[in-house]
Amino acid sequence: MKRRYHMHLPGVLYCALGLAVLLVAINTQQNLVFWVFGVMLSGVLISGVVSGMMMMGLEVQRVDPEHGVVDEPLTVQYALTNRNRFIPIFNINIEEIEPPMTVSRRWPRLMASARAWIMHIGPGETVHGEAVFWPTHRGEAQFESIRIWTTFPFGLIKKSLTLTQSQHTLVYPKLYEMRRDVMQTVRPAGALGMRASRRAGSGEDYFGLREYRPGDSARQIAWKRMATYDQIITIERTEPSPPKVRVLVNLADPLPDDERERDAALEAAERAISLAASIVRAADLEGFEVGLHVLGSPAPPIPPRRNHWHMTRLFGALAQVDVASLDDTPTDQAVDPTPSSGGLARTPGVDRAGVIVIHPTRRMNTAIGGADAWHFSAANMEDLVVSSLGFAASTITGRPPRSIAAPAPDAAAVRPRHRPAQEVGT
Amino acid sequence: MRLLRSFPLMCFALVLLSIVGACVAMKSVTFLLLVGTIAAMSWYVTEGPRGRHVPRWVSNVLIIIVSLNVFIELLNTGQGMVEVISVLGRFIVWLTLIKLYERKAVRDYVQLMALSLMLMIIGSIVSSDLLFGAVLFIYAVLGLYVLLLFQLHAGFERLRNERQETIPVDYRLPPTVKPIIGRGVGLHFRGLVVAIAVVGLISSTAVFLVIPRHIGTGFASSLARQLAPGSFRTQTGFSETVDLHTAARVDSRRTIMNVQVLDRNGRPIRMPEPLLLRGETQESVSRDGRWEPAPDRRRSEQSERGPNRGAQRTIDIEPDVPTPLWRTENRIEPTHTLDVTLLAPVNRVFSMGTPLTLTFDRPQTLETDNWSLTLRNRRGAPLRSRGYTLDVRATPLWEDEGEDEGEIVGYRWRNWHAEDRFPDSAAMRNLIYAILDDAGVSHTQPPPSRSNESGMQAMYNGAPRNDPVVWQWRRDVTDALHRYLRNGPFQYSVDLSDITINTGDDNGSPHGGPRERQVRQFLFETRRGDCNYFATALAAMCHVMGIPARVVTGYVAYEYDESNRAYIVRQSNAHAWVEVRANHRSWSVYDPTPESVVEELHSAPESGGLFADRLRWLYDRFEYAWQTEIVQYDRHAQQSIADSLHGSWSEAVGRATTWVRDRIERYNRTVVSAVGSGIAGYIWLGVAALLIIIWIVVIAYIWRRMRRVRTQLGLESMFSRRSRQMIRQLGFYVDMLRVLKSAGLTKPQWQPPHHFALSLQSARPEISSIVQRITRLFYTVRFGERPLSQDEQQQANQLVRELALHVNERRNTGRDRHRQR
Repeated sequence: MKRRYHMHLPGVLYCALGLAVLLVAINTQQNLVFWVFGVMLSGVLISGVVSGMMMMGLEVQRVDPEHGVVDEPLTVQYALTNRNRFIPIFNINIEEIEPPMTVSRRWPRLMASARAWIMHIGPGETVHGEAVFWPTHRGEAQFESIRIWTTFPFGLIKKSLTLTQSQHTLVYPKLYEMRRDVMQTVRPAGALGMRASRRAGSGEDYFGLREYRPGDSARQIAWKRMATYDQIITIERTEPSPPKVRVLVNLADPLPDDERERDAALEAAERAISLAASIVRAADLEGFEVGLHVLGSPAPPIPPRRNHWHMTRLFGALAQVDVASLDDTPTDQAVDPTPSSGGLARTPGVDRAGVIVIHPTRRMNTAIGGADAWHFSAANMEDLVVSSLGFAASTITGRPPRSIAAPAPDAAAVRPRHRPAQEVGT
Repeated sequence: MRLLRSFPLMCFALVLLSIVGACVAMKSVTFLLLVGTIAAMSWYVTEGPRGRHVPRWVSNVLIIIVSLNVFIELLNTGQGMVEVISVLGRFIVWLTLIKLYERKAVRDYVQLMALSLMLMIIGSIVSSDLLFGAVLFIYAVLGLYVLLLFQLHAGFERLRNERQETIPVDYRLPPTVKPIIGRGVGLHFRGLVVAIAVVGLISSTAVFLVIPRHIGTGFASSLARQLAPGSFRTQTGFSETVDLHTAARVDSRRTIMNVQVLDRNGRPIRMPEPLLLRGETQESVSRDGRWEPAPDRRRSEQSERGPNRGAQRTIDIEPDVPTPLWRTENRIEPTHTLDVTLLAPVNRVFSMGTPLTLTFDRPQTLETDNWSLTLRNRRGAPLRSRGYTLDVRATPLWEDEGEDEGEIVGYRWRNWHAEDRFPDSAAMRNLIYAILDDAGVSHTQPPPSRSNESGMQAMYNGAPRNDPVVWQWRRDVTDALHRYLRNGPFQYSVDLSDITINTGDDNGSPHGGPRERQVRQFLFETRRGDCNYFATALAAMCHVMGIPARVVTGYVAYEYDESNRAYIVRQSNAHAWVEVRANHRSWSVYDPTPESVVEELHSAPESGGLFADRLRWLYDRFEYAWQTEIVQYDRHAQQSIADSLHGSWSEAVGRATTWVRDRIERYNRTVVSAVGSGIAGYIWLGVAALLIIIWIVVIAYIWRRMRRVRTQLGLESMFSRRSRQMIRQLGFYVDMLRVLKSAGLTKPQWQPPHHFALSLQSARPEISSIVQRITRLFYTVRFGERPLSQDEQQQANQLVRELALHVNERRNTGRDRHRQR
């Protein structure tokens, strides 16, 4: 913890003015001017003492920010406690100090630093202030040190307190709101759709009988069977199994050597990751169990599940994909992006699921994902999304969304090969 | 938020107050009305229902125009620094007005506050009035409040701007920007302002008191001279000179002083005649017609003639020591004593007749003038005193040079140059002759019986000391002129606004040059005026007749307070009369103003006790204290305070030392007597000392333990009787935590005691049960609203001891294993 006093421009100007007043007072011997000088001198002393006393009793704790999303506000909260018994604290500013390059090379690129401001903390109170960051790139943001400063009461002297609290948070890829007909189109049907599972749960289908347990509903009691067993028997239902979908991001293609083409490829990959994250989110909202596999990444495939933590895991995986270093990283052996395997990492014992393959460019390798897979190109993302989350629709597409019923050769989506062509959407 | 919302209004009030302060300092009521109205309208225009603002380009154009105007004003202004500062003050006022009509961001508020501060600094340079001082004080307090509020306002505005810059405009769900505040923000803020104001007032007063005065004043001494405290006419009604151009009667009933007249036996008396308190004498007429004291240069010539001949000298008066004022060889017995209580700032000693001995309550340095018998403070500054005591001779004395009688004061008439006297003229002489003819008095002074000089020569060479014929003629002439003015066709009037005095050159004027024009106009044309006109007319006619005479300015006291047995002298009692050299050893006093008028004007009002008078009385007290204690605070006052502090400090230290010494001696005697009783005395002393030490240790231990319990159990905010009892009983739980901590089992602060006890079940099952039992007792006291019985307390302490035993056993076992390895 480091405490410092800074003399900044207003303080310097104030001191210069004070000296001028002193000269006038000495020259004119006007007692009122002497008193004005006394007031000004007292101002400097009081400023230093009051700000120092306020900062002495201040404790700050950064509340772990769960995650951020590109182009969405990332709110970082700070818990501030005033340990003073009598002295309130006013006008406190909190800033994150950008970590040195050795700690994190990405911090300045991820988002600009923001400031939290607390107007007042009473004696013995704890309040929570928040700084709103605006991430511009996905990745891992490292928080290292916090600087708390104030110029209260007169703005003459800046008193700061620096403390180190290392934390990191993930910035998820940019999320778009997908067109509703896209998700309806890719919804798995038949064997890949909604069906009963082999576990007891809260579904509708009959699963079996068991003894009554306190808390069971009276509606579940099997009255006819009770006569046979001479005890209270309840009916168990099956657990519903939502449709599953696997999202494959095809980043297995090597990056070109040419610098310009490489940058374009990296940007396309970022768009593909962003489209994948958007589809994952949309699928989750539609009730799908979603799995993820980034082709070309050393990370193992994530099987389909559906809960909050699973979504966190999926977005985290997408946030941490280092596209630039995929060339140097050995890929997972379980992934076989050949047409015969369909490019899927099959997990033993896992039910089959629908497959959505996302390609960075319009050049789609339809062999990946098998015959039932849907292929999307990030290059045509404007046709698939309504808008960026939180923004008006026109900010992304620039034109009203249109149907994907008649895809052109460079269409955003390609239907599964074995299905008859049919119009989807409106 | 209400606090933040109040900032624009408070800032506007501050700026408005600074404009008022600047106008008060510059004493410009018209300007105050003009700019005050414009400033007040700005609030409605900019913050009213329409909320319109002047565009930046318009305000820039206005600033350029105002700057050009100031530049032209500065070119036309003379060398007076006060005028230059006043012009700058008006310029800043106009800038402030323009800024008030602009749209206000944080930067604009900073500029407005800086401008207001500059206005008050300029005001404090050019003014030292109590009214401005009051405005300055209010400004300081309000400025402190606004400055602190501005810090919050600026912080919030900066945050809002940063958020707007960070988050794109088209983002649909921007986070709300609102200030984070705790409980009681308004109360805390106001409390902090009060605390800072008190500390600031104390520290600024300390700086004000200790900062050295009169050091380095030379580097711009012209400015210092121009800004030094000026005339006190506006404050006291008294004027050192008589200028009929500008003379105006002062109607203020402000009390200047209370004067108690004591006879030689020390009894307060009321004089049969109105009490005339002399302040200054004017015996010469300047070229512009103003009556003023004789020029100093002539007096300096006189002072070169010998050590006792100087007209002016400086005397230092020690506090509470009667100081003789004149270098006399023959002692003159006083006839009365004046006990004067000052209630307003005056820069001289007002005295009846001839002051002989002066006593002040504070050290003073006075300039005495033995020609006019007046005493004024050095550099014309107000007296730093609450009053003085004077031994006086009832009449203003004159003793001519003479070895046999000794000299007190005086200069020979022949040294009074002819150009200083009122000019002779045929018209004046004809008028005087007519008056003397009516009174049957000779036109010419009879020749001195012991001189061969002609009458006129004798007049200008000084009156013979013991020539009763000449003195009598002078008295007759003066009496005749005095009667003429009092009973003649003259009217006393204070409304002289319709009288236009011709100030042209001498050519073609029926009344002569400017020196005599005013008096002649009074005598021959208007025949209307106040006491200054009557006095100057009598003195002028005496001058024409060759009789030394001078106009005296001061106060006439009619109002006598029977309860205090003292005269009350008010500002409206300022008066002018005449002293004529018509006696051998003294000046004769003549008041040509009609007596009835004087009595009517200067006596106590019949209504009395008006509320306004009371307010005025109160204001006068403050004004007096302000002028004497603050405005006139100087190095002498600093020295005085330092001396008094040193004296009181030495006295306090001396008292403390004596008290300690007495105590030590008393205890010493007690100890000696105890030791004197043998070995038993030593034992008793040792026991007593041991008991005291034990008592101190126990108290310290209990205090520290209670503090630890209070801190560890989070009871800092509880100060009730119940909480104190709780703290006394819950020590066992803190002991348990300490034992567990020594075993490496620290309870997290966030974990409730019960959960902590359960968590030990898996980690340390052998002590878990003990901890749970202790925790149950803890809950009983802390949340069960039931104090532990004595058995339960013993049980709790026993459990803690068992716990410590278990922990120590395990630790010892661990050590043994470690050793075996």
